[in-house]
Amino acid sequence: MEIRRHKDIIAFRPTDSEIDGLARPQTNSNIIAFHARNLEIAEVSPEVFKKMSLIDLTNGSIPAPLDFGFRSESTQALEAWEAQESPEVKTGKLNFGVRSINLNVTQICNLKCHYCAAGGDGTYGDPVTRISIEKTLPQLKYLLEKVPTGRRFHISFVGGEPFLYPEALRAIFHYTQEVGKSLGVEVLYTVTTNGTLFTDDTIAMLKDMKFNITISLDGAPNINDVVRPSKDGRSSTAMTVAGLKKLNSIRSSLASMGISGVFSKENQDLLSAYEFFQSLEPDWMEFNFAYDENSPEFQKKYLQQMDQIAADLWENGGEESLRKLRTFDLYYKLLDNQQQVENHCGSGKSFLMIDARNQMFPCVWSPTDKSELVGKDLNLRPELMENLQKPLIELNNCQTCWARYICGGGCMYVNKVHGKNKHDKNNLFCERTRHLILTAFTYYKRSRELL
Amino acid sequence: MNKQEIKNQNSGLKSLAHYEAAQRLTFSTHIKKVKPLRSESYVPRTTGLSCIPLGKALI
Repeated sequence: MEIRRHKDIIAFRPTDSEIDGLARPQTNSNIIAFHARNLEIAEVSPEVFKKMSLIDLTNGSIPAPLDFGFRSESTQALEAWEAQESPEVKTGKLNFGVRSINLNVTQICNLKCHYCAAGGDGTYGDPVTRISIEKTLPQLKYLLEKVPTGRRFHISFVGGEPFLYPEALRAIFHYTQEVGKSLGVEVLYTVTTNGTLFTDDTIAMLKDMKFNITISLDGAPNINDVVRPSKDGRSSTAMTVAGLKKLNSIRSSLASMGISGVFSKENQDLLSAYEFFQSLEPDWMEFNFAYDENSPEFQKKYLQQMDQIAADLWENGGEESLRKLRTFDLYYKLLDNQQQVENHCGSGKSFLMIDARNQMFPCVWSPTDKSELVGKDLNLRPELMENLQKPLIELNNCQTCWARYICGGGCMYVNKVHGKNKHDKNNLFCERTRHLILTAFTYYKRSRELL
Repeated sequence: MNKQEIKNQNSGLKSLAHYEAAQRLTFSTHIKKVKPLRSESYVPRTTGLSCIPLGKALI
């Protein structure tokens, strides 16, 4: 694919193979352009395209502009667009204020997934069978009281495996509904589970809760059983599929049900995973690149398969179907609303991770690193997150990257695992993100009319 | 302002309008923007793109 850039505008011409299976282009030009500050997509003429400098996806810096010489009409048009500041653009600035938490209701698991970053076995190195409800309810009230009236607060139950302690989910749900109502704060819930432990009782419980359910599954049974083995040797896939059957009986009572998979050199087959996921009829899917994976060869395969999955979804159901890919759905929302993202995640600003000992951390992966502790019980210490208050695109030095307001600066944990520190950008991550964004642009352009 | 001055000013305005129209034409010849669909309100991401199950907490 040929990609070019002029200051904050990039343009690319998808190759024939990349538009195979897509609807025919609406006009003669296949060149798609993106205005990085305004989050605008456009079709540009070949003359404009030629006025831009060649770039590739490995680099986010601004190339030296070509010497335009005579200022032709195409040059003037390109410069005029680049200089525009759209009044429709919404800033992505994020002030401190916790609006979302992950809560470990257990730090034990009935599976032992090969890649588990929670200490290798869901325990974070500290197996806690059950979170203390007596400590957790006041802690949640303490956080909810800081949320402005009329805003939302999101609780995401994680673990370990949360359904090893379903009573905690029930107690926290009822309590926070009551407190939220009295404060004028809407509380929303997600639970991330391996789906192997649903019983008639837990299904009956979920019926009244309007939860978003995320099922962790890494592929078809032959692969999933290997990377996500159960401790007693039974097929975890069979258990998950049985759980999903139960869950489907109350599907209309759920907010959503999605499947989240992790892929790496050890688990490279996204396409068979996609086929298997589709057979389970989720509302959405995600194919995550393992945080510790650093193989450029696998990344190439990963991206090829992601493009194939996107093409298949598009061919079989257009935009609605394509947006089952959660990442693409997000990109569509950002473009439709011209909404800049300045923080890849809410770490240190709007998000907290609470472990099963009621300790608070800025990142989901922090509980294994006690130096990142920012509070406990009813004592949150924002001053310990002072160094995370600037926008992440600034902290991670992404100011020149054309993808910055879509990506939001990347993942600090991935940076830390692969680099010198949490702000040391991971090139593989950047390249991967840029590639997926361009794929999303290609479909977005085909999903919308020209002005 | 005499008649000649008014005439000059009008002609200046006219040529400015022509210039702007020409600019717009040039722009639309070379750049055709896509019309966004303002349907859903944006939901900021509060956890990162993950590698293992996270349950993306959205607010």
